[in-house]
Amino acid sequence: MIKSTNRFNKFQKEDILFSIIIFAFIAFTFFQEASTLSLYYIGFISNIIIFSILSLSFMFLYSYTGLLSMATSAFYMVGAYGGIFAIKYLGNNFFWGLIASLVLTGLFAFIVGSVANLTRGVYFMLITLGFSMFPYLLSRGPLKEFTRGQSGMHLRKLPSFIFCIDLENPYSFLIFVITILIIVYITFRLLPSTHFGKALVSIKENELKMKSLGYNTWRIKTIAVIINGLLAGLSGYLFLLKNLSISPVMGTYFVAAKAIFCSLIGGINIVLGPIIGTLSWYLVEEFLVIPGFLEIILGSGLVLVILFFPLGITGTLTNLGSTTGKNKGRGKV
Amino acid sequence: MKILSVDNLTKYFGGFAAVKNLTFSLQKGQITSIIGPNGAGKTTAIRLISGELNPTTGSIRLKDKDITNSSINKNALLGISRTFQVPAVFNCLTVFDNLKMAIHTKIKDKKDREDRCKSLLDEVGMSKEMNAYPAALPNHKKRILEWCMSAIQDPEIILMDELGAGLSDEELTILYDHIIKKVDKFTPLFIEHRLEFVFRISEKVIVLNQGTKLAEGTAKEILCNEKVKEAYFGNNCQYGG
Repeated sequence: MIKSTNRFNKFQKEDILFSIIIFAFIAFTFFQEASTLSLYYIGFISNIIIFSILSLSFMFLYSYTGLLSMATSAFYMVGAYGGIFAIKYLGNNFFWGLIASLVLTGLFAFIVGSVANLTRGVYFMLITLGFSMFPYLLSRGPLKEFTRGQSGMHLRKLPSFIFCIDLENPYSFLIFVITILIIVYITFRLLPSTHFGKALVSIKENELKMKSLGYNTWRIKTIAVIINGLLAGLSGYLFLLKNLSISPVMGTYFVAAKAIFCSLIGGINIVLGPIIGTLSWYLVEEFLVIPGFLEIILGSGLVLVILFFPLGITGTLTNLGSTTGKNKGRGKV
Repeated sequence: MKILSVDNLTKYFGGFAAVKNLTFSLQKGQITSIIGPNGAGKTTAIRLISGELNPTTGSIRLKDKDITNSSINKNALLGISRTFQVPAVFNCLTVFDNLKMAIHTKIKDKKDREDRCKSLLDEVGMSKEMNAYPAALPNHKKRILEWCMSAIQDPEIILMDELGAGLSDEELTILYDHIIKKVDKFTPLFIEHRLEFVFRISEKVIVLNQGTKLAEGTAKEILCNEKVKEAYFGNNCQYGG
């Protein structure tokens, strides 16, 4: 059961699958544009991609570094609120919002990571769970004059953007988020061939050995949490641009649980996993509408996947036909 | 030249003294071994010296530097390297990447790093397995790889915890040959249960029992020591003739 880092160097089945999905999204966009159908599904796909980025940020921390962070949703919320404050008070510009959300989530992730990484295992998860309630409770309590509490905040007008991309046009917005997803995907695929990526997987395998080689593992793990935070914050900011309306619900641990769920059913040890997982969550939610039964379907789906396909949907798909990789990753979840 | 000196080292776990008033020193280039029955505190001693644990009382000095309360990663940079009871190599990385991971903290120049890794692999005869994963290697090669990961960091001391566990005599001899070749550069401290090897190669043997030092001396002195015999075999003669 070796999760070799070498496999990341080669073009794999999962890359082909990823290309197919991206191609399908883009083809769908142009088909919609040509047929002038409703814009609903364009927004639907944008939402899938934005949440995929959040799931990927969770997957990065869990699968590469072995840290199960519940604070992902808090970073998501801080990113969105940071963006909206900057746009309201600093000026209606895309980049002000982006910088503010990244700086705020980076700082918050540094605080969370530096404290939580003093512990390990389930204690790490509990401390991040505690921290994840901070933004939610702050926005509903002491800061409610600014954040308008439970009713959330709204953008009246989308910020201006350079590079001749019009964010108000749903098609160009979709292409914009697809580009970001592709960049994130390629970065994560190439990461394990860099020294930093190898250090992360080595820490996951044997932290004491890494320490005895002279590595400050606390620092490396904190950097990993910051990367997780920045990516989740970016996802939250994109959510703000897409929906123009945010509320503290974004910061509850249900959102973190949803990201974990999507990663698990998609396949936790594969970069494509969270994307497929998010896609299946949204498709089930959208097309299997039996009132009140959604959670039952999703929950029993999760149980079945963990029991019978421990590699997740993606892992099972990419392992089809290969005899060597059978049962690889069983019990990792 | 005295390279490491340990003074009155004591470690309590709750009320239990795992190591008590341990005092010894390592000379540069001298092969020293710590032996003792199970639960004697050998591994705890290594964990204290390497910095994984901090002692309750006592002091540890590396050359002239006090490292009593230093952490394990700082000690590694100062020159105390360590191998583990179960060979701790990274199964997710190739043999070559394992070495590169080890040398990365010491040398900044990329070309230099790779050259050193390659020449060390040549020296121990593992250049064929350069791109293999450690899980595919036999146990003694994993041990050699782990020792290489320590040696490539150019440490002052290598603490080796039960190197011989799970190895045949031939494999252990190969391993010891590699280590003894480099004794002048890296002073080894062995913890070993394979007494025949300990007495063959060690210049100094320290015997621990129940956390305290029972005896210290050359192999011959230890073999003739009545207290050591008693610790290992007891003084109960009822089964004897």
